[in-house]
Amino acid sequence: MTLLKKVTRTMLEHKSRYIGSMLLLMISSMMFVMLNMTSANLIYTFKTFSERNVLSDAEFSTDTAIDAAALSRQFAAKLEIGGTVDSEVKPGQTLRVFPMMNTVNIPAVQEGSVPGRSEIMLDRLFAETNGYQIGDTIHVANKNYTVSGYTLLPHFIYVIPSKDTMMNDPKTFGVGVVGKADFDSMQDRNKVYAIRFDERGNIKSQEAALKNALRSQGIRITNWQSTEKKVNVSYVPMKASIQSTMSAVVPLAMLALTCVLLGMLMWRMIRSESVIIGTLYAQGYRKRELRRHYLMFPLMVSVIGSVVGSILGLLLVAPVFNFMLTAFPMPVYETIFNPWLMIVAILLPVIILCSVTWGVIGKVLKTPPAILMKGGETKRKTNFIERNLRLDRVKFNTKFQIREQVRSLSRSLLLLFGVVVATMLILYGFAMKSSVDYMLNKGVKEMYNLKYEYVFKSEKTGAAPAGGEPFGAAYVSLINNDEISFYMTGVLPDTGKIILKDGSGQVLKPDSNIITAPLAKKLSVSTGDSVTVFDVENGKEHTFIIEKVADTYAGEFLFMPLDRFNKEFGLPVDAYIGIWSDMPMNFSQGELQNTKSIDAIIAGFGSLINQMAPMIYGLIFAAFIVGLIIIYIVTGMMVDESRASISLMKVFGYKKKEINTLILGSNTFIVAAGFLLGIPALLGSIGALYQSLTESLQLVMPVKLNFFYMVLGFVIVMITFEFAKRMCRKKVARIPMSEALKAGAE
Amino acid sequence: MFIAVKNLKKSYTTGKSKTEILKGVSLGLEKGQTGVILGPSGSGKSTLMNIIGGVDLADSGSIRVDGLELAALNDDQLTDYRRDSVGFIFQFYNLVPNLTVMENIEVVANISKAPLDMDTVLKAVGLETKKRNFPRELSGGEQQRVAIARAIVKNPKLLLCDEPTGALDYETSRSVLSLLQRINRDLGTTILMITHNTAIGDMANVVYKVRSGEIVETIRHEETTAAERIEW
Repeated sequence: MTLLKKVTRTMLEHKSRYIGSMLLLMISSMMFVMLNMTSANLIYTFKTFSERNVLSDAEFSTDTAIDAAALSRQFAAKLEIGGTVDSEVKPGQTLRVFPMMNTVNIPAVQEGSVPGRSEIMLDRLFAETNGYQIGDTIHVANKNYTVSGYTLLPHFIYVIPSKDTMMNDPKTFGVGVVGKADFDSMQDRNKVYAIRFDERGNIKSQEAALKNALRSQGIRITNWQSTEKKVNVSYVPMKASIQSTMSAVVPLAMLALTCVLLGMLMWRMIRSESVIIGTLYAQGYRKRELRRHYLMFPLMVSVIGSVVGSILGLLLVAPVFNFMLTAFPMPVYETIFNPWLMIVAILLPVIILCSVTWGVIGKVLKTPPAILMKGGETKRKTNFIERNLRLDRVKFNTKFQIREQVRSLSRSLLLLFGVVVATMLILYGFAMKSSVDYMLNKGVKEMYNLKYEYVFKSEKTGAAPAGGEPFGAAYVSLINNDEISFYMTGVLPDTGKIILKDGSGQVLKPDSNIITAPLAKKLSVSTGDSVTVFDVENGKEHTFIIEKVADTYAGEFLFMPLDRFNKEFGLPVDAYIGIWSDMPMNFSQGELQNTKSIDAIIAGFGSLINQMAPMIYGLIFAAFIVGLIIIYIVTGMMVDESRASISLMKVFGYKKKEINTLILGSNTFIVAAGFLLGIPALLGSIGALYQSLTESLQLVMPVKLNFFYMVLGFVIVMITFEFAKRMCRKKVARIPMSEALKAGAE
Repeated sequence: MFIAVKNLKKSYTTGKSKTEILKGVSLGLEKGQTGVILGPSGSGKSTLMNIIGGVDLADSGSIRVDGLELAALNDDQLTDYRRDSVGFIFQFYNLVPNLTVMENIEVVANISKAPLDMDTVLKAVGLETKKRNFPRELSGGEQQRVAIARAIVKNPKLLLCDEPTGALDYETSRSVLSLLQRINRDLGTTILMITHNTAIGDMANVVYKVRSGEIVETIRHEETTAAERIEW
């Protein structure tokens, strides 16, 4: 009991250390529980939504109608015809309308009722953002509809018009569901078949069999979209997977930090108490009693930290999950609670921290009591670096600061590790923003020297309309991997609408086969390599030699001269599929497959960048807190261990500023080194993250970190360091000179 | 008078009880002299030295060192006083453990206006071969020599020594005392030494015997004894 009092008193004496450790553990456990539980619920909700509302495995269009019932039977699948209509509700505001499906991709009713005649269900975010309430009227595709409710679509969870848009913007785009009769009366509707196979294994081979069956019937597949590649759906498991990775990596990194920190604290405390330990030991205390006493420190820290953190994490699951549901609207049929996550979040820190302390105290207790009573064995040891440093020609202040660092390598390594983690957190958001900025400025803005792209439903021949420039396009898949598909684009050799540049910034004339960098990366090809693809529409094979690589991240394209393109794809010499222009052009709705506004894409990037801001600020704040705790604890530790020197310096007449520079400023080098090491560590991990994005989202992003953001990150790290130093200054000021005067030993 | 202390009083209050440490002490020491304050533990001699050294403040009374009234100095001025005028030597050496011998001397040379050459100082204390060793690699006597070197490198006007031989054996103590005496003779440094070893008083020009916060006896020596000849 008396020894327990010692535990609480020691902890109160050095509360900043122990509170800091508890805070780190708290953050670690909180993030572990919150992220894991949220991603588990997200995955579970997606799974139940997919199953209960019969999410399709693929959607496809054909040139002629197919016998859905016969194919359903043949392939043991649910197959239903649906489609979409894009209707401009207001200028700059598009609503994508789907029919009410009954067997596949069944819309869920979030509120209100299934649409009857002349009724429509809207996605809630679009409705609320634009002021449409249940019962209101909305003009869609030349007809007034009454809003009957809010809907959630299993095949359109992430509400973005296309992959290019990246971020959902409910002001400009939303989805709605009308009854089949109303849908069928709409003009310019796309007919899309949705299929879900009953046998849930090996979907790919079932898809291939279906494609072959259609082709064998002479039916041309004009568009095939596997659901796992559809961004509106695949974003959800991708996001959950990123979160799962983060929920494993971030809390573990924090736990590792805390373990090192607490291990060091324990090591130092036990070493400084070796006289007491020796005395207690000599007076009859058993090893296990002493071990039990010292285990109380990590036990209290880890239990308090992990229990409070886990409870906080649990409390945050609901708001975070709800926040995610605003981006990925899905019906929550039921939520899951995994008690093992809580148990792991609490027990893991307890087991790890107690084991570390067990080892430390065990090592000390091996020393005979007589030696312990004299201060232990380790006291006389000088480490290798300390002994071999030759600093004769260095200025005293620098020399002193270097000595302070090498004196305790574990302390310096902890600081280094902490700053690396803080740097990675700070720069993570900045690196994401740099990548998006790069894609926008060096990609979309630089490559597209045009305002509008109009794609026709079928090829046209002859001269392009005035003010427009023709281009050809074919959607192709790799012959040896039909998972990878991209557009071959035929452009006029002297086009000024598409600007391609090589790595050195030189403009590439599109008079040869030019592949964009992200596609080259995805296909692992470079200049001189050949690529064999098949036309998705007719299955014909084509082989192309890559002649140049364009360093642009605006998309995945293989450009070639239009005449060569037409010849290769067996089209008339003056054929084209679309028009690029700088001004809006009028075509009849039935003529167009789709329209793209480059300004809208740029605006999409803008909204992505804007939406990244809270994440960036959040990460900076988290990094600031983590960095502050680590730097404060390590600097505080340094102050405590240098009490005698500080006191002595005061006696010698050192001024406060000089002492602060020597003691507190000695970490500057480690902090700067930690920041510099944090940059490659971050770029490496971001590269791995982007690689996974490439695989799951078919989106290639360049790993970039703007120099300005690096400088800004450094400034933030140094501000954190200054803040920690400021907090420690009081500690330095409190050390009395009498400590040196009364010192009883070296 | 280089050091002139008049009617110095100092007390500490712990809870409700007040302990008078110095009860109106007065003493004086001429420039270049060696003074010894003799007294048992708890007599107030360390407090007296701390006040003279500018690390503690008196409740009342006057302390003039080289014409400077310490009681009138603020915190920063006291720091300047310690920095420029006073060298300290402690019973337990108080070396910075993670600095080498040379660097321990440099720690003071670094803030001195006109420090002596460090190699010369090291040679003077006989440690020129140990300049790269760490304190823990030295014997007690060697550590005290480093402490002396550190104290004199700034060429202080006043050297305050708190039981400089308290932790040393007889032979080592004599050699340390001899070194202090040489410094006093060669550099003209005024030395004020605290000790409870009465024999050391023989090497001083003035000996103040302190008991319970008061000077009970003052002994002045016309001739001082060489440290090598002192025995106890």
